[in-house]
Amino acid sequence: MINGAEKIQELKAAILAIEWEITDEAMDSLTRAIEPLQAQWVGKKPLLVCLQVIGTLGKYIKKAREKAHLDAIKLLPDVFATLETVITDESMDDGRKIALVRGAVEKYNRLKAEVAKPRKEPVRKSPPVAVAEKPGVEAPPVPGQGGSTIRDLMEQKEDQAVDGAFNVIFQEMVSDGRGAAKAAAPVPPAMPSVGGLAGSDAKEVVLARIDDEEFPEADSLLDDFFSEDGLAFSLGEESVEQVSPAADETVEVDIGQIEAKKEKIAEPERPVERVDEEEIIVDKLDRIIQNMQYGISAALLSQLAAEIDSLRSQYPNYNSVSLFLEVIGAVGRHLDSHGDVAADLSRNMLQTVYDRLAHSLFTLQPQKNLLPSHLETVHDYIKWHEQVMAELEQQRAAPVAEQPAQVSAEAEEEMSAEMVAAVKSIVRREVDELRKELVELIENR
Amino acid sequence: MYNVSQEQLEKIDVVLKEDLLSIGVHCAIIIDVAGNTIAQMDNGRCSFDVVSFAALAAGNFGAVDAMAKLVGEQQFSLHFHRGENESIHFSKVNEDILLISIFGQDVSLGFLRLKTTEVIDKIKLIWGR
Amino acid sequence: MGFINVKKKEVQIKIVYYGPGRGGKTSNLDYINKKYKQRIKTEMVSIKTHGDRTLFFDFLPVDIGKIHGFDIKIQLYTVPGQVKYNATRKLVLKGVDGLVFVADLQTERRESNLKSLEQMKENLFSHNKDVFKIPLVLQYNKIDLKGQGIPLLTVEEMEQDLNQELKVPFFVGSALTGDNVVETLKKIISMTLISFRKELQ
Repeated sequence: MINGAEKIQELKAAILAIEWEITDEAMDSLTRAIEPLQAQWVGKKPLLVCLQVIGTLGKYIKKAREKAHLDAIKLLPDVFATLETVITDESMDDGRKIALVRGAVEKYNRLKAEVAKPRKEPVRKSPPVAVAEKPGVEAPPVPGQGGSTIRDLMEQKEDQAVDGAFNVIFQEMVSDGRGAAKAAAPVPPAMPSVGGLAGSDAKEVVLARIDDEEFPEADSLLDDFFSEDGLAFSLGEESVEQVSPAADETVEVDIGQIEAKKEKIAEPERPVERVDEEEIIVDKLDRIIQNMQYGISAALLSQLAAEIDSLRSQYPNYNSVSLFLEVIGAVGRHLDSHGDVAADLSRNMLQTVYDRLAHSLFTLQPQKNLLPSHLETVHDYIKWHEQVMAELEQQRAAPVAEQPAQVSAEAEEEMSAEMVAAVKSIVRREVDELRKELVELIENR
Repeated sequence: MYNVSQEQLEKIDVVLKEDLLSIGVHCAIIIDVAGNTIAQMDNGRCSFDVVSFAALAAGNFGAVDAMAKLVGEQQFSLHFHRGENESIHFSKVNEDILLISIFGQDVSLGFLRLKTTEVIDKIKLIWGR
Repeated sequence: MGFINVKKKEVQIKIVYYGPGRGGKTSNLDYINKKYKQRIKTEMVSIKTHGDRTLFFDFLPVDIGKIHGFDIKIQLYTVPGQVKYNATRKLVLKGVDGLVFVADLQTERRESNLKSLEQMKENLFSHNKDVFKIPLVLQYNKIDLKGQGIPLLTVEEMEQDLNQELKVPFFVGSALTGDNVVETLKKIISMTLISFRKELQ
């Protein structure tokens, strides 16, 4: 007895292939995958409706190609996902399944309306409005009450009539679009042809070495730039990067200290009071965490711990970042003691929390506005911790030979208990501040 | 060495904006095989070091192209790196220049590839080679 | 290749440091990067092995200022020197505008210097470039080893080996101490810009 998932393998493969490449062959495979299913599912209206939508979308995309509406491309895998859920999830009740299918059909109908609008120019728009936001479409009936509407939708006759008209519109739209596109594709003659402007041609010039010539402007520029004035530099400076003694040929991409160029962001709408907190530099922390993405070493971990300690001691009252620092420190400690447990998860955790920290500094939000970010971090920490404990348990159950557990799980628990206490106090402080503010607001009304 | 006119560059910018950014691409960059950036359009969310990116991209593309020729291929038809949040797609405009698109999960690769072909045709006309 | 962006009014120039393995190419860039850190602002990109051997390239962009209203952006690259990486060297040479050949003064590296230079000529040829035409400067590196009991070639010997036909400017220096590193770079940039001059005016 073939289960649901197996039945739609071919269709799934066709949909996935379209994700990678949109060609006539890919669209034809889609059509070929649909046909046997339509035969198999006679009478099963929800499934047939999905297949019909998928089929029509496929034909539209095949015809319209790069002129296709962006939402159509997105809707295809979406509807398939609905179909897949309906087929494979046996715990879901029929009512829910029908609601899901109905949702897909609604999206399809909205798309049809969008496509049917007369298009003045080839697709040139800002990122498409999320389908759910489209207003003014017929109000979707409440699940359970909309039985008749759903029945209408499920009636194949109705669908064919609707789709028939839809197909006609699509065909017209697409052939118009294609015609217009063909006319527009060559460079409009109104603009000067390439090379028309004086000296503006893209041309290849082979540089020739010209001996015995001088270029005083260049020389003076070079002299200025490479002058020794104002340079604070000593050759004895230590570099930050690790130099591994081993000469084995493993590749290490050492991108040194590339920092993302931070764009200037727009001013926040309300005036931001930054409560007398001095500027805190976290570049070194950033570098350490970035380097950890390429490999975790004991040296990096001790650098991390040292940097966290240093930041904490330098800025003991820096409330907005202390929570982030606590979490980063805790994850680092875990990696130090159990580097093999949940390494990837921990690495990602470090990066995520660091990003939040950097963002909070960069956007200059007062601490109380960071509560959501802090809570998110706490939530992530809890999940991370659960995962780590679970994996540690697994490890313990595994044969003893492979696991030199330096720190037992109990110690791990203790460390996290400390963390929890620290986190609680930070969050409590934030909530108190918010509460105070709220009270003030109310009293001042 | 070559130079491109201001007008050509502006036209290229328009194509990148209307055909790539419009479908959700975060950043579209045209570079030459030496790693120089010729044109760049982004949706305001690209905060990385484009100069280094271009150098690496040129090196990367060059290496992959060399590998293709080693195994007997003229070139690979898909050069694409998928990331969790950002993915990169390379395509060759001509022997000298490349188009790189950086985009998120919300853009379908298949559709991007269709659009890229269209964009390249337009750029070739503008570039005049 | 050099690229003039008329819209942004900038000129991009590619200079590659070439030479045998462990000859001092990366060290040249390291020195420049450290010394002018405050002015360079962008970080150096290095793709290398665990043993600190260049695997693909080092890359350091340096904006030196304006000439005739154009921003001059120099892109410095090194190639990997080890013999097995010739395919990569060829890649990095694509679009090169100016070259610095960093030769090793140690006697035991004489053969490597010659082979590397020969291969550079071939690689340039495969890109339709002529070693006799492209802006080129020689650097005879590791003069700091003098008097330390390590046999070094003389300048005359180096000139004989490498510069008899080319007749290009040369500098004796040390990438480690910085001796003549900046002078080498200034010279090659100047030579390259002279070639560009016609295009700028």
